[in-house]
Amino acid sequence: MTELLGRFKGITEDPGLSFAQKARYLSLEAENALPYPALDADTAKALSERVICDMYEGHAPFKPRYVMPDYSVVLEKGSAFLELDPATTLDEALNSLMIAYHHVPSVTNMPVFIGRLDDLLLRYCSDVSDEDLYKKLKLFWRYLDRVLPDAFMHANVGPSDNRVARTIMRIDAELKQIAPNLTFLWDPQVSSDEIFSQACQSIIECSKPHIANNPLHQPLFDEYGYGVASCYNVLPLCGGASTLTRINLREVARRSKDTTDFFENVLPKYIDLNFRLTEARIDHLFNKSGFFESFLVKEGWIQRDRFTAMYGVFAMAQCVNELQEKEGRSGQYGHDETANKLGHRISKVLFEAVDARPMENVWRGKAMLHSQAGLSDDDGCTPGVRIPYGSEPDPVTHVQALAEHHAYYPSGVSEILTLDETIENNPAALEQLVKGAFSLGFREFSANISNNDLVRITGYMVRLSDIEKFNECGGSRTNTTVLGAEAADKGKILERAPRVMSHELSPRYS
Amino acid sequence: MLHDASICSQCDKCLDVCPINANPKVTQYSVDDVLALVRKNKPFLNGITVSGGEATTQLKFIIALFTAIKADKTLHDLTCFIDSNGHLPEAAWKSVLPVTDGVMLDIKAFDRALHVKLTGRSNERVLASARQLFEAGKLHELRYLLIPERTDGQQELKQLFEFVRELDVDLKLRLNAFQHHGVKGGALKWPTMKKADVERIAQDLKARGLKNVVTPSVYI
Repeated sequence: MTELLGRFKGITEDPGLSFAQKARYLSLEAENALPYPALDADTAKALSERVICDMYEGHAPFKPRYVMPDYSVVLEKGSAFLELDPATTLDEALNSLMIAYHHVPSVTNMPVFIGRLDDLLLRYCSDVSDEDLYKKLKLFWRYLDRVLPDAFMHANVGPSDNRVARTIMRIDAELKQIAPNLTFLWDPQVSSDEIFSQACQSIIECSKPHIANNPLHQPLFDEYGYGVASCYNVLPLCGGASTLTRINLREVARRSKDTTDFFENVLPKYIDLNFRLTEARIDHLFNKSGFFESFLVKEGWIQRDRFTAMYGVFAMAQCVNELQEKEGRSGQYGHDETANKLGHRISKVLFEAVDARPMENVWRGKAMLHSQAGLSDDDGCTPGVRIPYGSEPDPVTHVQALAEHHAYYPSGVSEILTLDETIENNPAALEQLVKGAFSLGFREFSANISNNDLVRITGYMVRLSDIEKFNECGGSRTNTTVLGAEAADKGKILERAPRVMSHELSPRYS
Repeated sequence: MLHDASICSQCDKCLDVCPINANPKVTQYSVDDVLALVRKNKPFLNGITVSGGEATTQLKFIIALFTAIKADKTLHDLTCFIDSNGHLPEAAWKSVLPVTDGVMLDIKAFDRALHVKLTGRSNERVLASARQLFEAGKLHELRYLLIPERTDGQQELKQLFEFVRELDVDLKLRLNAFQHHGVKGGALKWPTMKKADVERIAQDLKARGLKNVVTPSVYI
């Protein structure tokens, strides 16, 4: 048997995976048995050394990484392909959405974005009582978690204060499910104090929702607006993102003699190589895969020219600390003024480099810089521009250290603030923290409350009690282990992988 | 002993080492220093509270700080509160109240002998302070620490109830529960106050007519 067939066999016989998880890993193995899109030697070398990274999206990109459909199309016009009439009632609208989600691909083959739900559903709610609305949405919420069990699946509500948004946040706090993830778009000009308070109260109960600073996001997009998907990716609606590639800034710093060498030679080199990698993948998607012949484009759910390229970076903390060491300075990222300023300078340079490079088949012809939080930090690399876990300063100092980065990351930069459980005594303090962070330029805000069962790891939700269960079985505490891919290692995990997993975090069978 | 904030891991061993309980972490701040700190954190604040130790032992500083905040165009929307054990004399309160928005006042016990036993001082001034602050409209909340077998007896709770009722049944009464976090010495042998008992006492006070009784949401 060839090695490849051996891997196929291993997957089919793995007792730790559900049959759906097996089918997914088999398809990924098949895709990755194909040759990679043609790369020049320098780019291929940087990729194999993992200084640049394709997020293991697969060798033959045949679907965009994140698809952000305008679901109002299927609700208002129906779908010839899916043989759906326009929705006229809330039941029909929810039913159409439940069908639609199954036809929306993403890197995980599950939808990462299920719509700005209040915008979509409000028009069907005028003759629905509060009690009925609650019952129907609760069933809908249960359906999402059980049938589309991916922690990256993401719903949006807000910024207006409305019945659908309030009911969804109420249900979400009650059910405390991993899926879907939820973002509340906050706008002080539009959102009421009451719904903002409800969102903060909900964070205290279940660490959700994530809050997005609408006044900072909205002006970057057009009349279609934007949505927040997956791990806090802010993307054009009626489109999405073709790819997410990323630079490991720690590796760039390691290859630099000093700060000057980093800025003048090494960083520009890898910025260029990561562009080439992105271009090769987008070229395959647009010119070879046939994706844009899909009914999704023909019926207007998405438009071919509304897909951005997410240009990611991570390990800013390790990068800065590495450069600090090379300069003979001891101050650490997140805690030292000089180190923090160096980080801000790196973000600025990255932003300007991404803005200066025209790209084909990319929305508005430019990629969007992203502080990438989606893979675990096994390798000692901290997600995005975050301060390493366990060494975060108090929440206010934390926000002040990072705020200046946010202007440079239009497609998203998520921080996770860990708040002491005593915040329960003082929800007003959380509200003030969010408002303070936003006034300093934070684009988005997430908090974990330290005694909640439901918490974020890199941006997706997990239940601590699930992790505990796996620990009892002798597994390790690392999230990826718990969350699926490595869960297949029978020595570590005796039980099945969790029903709801974070598919983006386990892009390969290993 | 010297304290280096840049390497401090907050283990608090330095506090245990000193025979007279001095704190090497104590830092000197001028009013301008504190104003600079407040300005830096202004987006996260809707007010400031001075606490302690006993904050009112630095009364001149409090008056100077609050006066400066009220006079500063960028800071005057912040409220200024004092967290106090109430041991301040009437004239001293009068000097600080014009620039103070509210006071959170601790009452440790109503029985005079018990108060002396717990704090080393009598409680007349504390009770007088509560009345004075209430009359001035500056008593933001009254706090009462429940310690099992010490301050949770029928007689104490009856006096607590009557004291609050005489002031105003709508006055915010915060019941705190004695726990071991941060406690040293002999009191570590005292039992901790359990949630069920705190809730029972709160229910009882409410049933007798108090309208604004607050209990801890977290026990640590």
